[in-house]
Amino acid sequence: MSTPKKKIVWIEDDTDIINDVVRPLERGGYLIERFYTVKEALDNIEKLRACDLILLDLIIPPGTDERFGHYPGMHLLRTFRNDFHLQQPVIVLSVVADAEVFQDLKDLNAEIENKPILPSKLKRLVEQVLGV
Amino acid sequence: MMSKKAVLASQEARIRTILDIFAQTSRLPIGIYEKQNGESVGIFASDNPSLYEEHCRYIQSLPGGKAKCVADEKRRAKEVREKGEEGLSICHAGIYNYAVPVALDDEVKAVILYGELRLAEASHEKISLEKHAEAVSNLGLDAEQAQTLKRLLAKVKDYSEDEFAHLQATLPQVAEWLYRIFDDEEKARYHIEKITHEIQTRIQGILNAENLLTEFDELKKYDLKMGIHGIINSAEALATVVNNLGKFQREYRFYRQRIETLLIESKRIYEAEAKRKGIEIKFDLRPVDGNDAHVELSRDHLQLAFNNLIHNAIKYSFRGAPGRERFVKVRGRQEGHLYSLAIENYGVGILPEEIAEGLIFDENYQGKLTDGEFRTGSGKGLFFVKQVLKEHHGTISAFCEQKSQGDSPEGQPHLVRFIIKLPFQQPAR
Repeated sequence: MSTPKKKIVWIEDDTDIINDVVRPLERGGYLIERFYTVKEALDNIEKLRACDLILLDLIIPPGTDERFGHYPGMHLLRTFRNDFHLQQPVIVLSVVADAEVFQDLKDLNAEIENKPILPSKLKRLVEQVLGV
Repeated sequence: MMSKKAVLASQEARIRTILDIFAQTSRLPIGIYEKQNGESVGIFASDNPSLYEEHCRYIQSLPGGKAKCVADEKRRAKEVREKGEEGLSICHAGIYNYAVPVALDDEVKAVILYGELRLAEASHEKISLEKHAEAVSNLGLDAEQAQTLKRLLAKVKDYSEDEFAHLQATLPQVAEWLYRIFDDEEKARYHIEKITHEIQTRIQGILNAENLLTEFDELKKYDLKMGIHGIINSAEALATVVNNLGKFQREYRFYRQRIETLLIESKRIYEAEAKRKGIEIKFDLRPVDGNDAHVELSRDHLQLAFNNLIHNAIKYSFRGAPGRERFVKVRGRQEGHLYSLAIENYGVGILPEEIAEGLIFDENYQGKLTDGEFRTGSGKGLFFVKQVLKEHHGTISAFCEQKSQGDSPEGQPHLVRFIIKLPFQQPAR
């Protein structure tokens, strides 16, 4: 019997440009579901609940907002953890380089990786986090 | 990037310098209350007990006295912030301070409390004495302590209107100026972060080419070719982002050239991105006197302008899907001595006031509707486009039409059209 494929949710608005960064993962048999905005991710919370890992960008639509501040991805992660009690591993891929943002992400039990990243490195990181 | 904590520390140091200058020249105590993360945070002039009235020092020396003063100041700062009006504010023990909200763009950024005074006017004096009585009770003072406090209250200086008018004339302006600087710095920091995001996203597109190396043996010639095109396109899109900053532009050099070549080049750079979004880029370029249109232009600059416009049209288009075709259309034709180009797409709109006031062409401005479902760009692109067209003695105008009804224009589809008019021939320079 074959092992079920691991499901990854990728929340990122620039997938039209950087789609190939997950190509090694897809070639490795991982199923990638893409969501582009905070709203779209929250509307699909059950899909997130069922996934094995979440890849998350911090600067995603709706951009700077009174509710979300400069980093809607951070708001989303907090909502996942605190309101929906999602326990899945989360890897944050971002250009943000603020020590306090990093600390907040650590507190929310997220792995942090700077963008840009080599596709092979992302695959290694995902497999390390998933213990594959 | 500086962390938020480091930014706040740098701002506090500058505020404290201003407060020290004020306190040393006026000999008055002063504090500023800011709202940080929902908390009221006080910043004060460097510790100099001689600035404070004996009355205050006495209360603060009593058990629990200092905590009551701090809580009372925070409460009053909050009141002034909510009211947004400057005026007198009385403390829990009967002494007046002057309170000034510092507002930028209708938002109160901080509240200044300064001076310690009593006012000879009877109604003020009555309130002072009532507060004094409350403090005696709240602080649990014995008769001797109460007597001492009353004696010290009587010693507090009564300021004249002139004295306060002088202070009021300077400090609020200085504070407003300082907070304006902080506000500008915050905007600049966020802006740099956004530009970094744009640049790194394009670099990510280049790094993704690593897949070509790892899959090299399995790839067909066509896939390799497309992969290499992907790298080149990402590098060209990256060059557009960097050139939009305006600091890396070459000099304008005008030659008569075929305009279609530039448009095809823009299409080539962004076609893969458009395709992933389900969008087709279509051209309808009418000949001029039976030939392709030739316009006198500075190629490097106009190329970047077209790149910006076509990329925006793709970026702010709603996604295509089976049964839902999406286009970016570029139409070109002669209009007398001008060549007219219309670039249109269907998606996120532009508000009428943003068009009427020309805001969308301002540097660093980002369309309000792009804050909804679509992340904004760097706010540099359209500003750059307008500059380029000005150098060409051309014009650009924007039009937007909401294509379906809804309470809010956000999320509703719009037809957005940019019209460029370029003279075929540049005037003699």
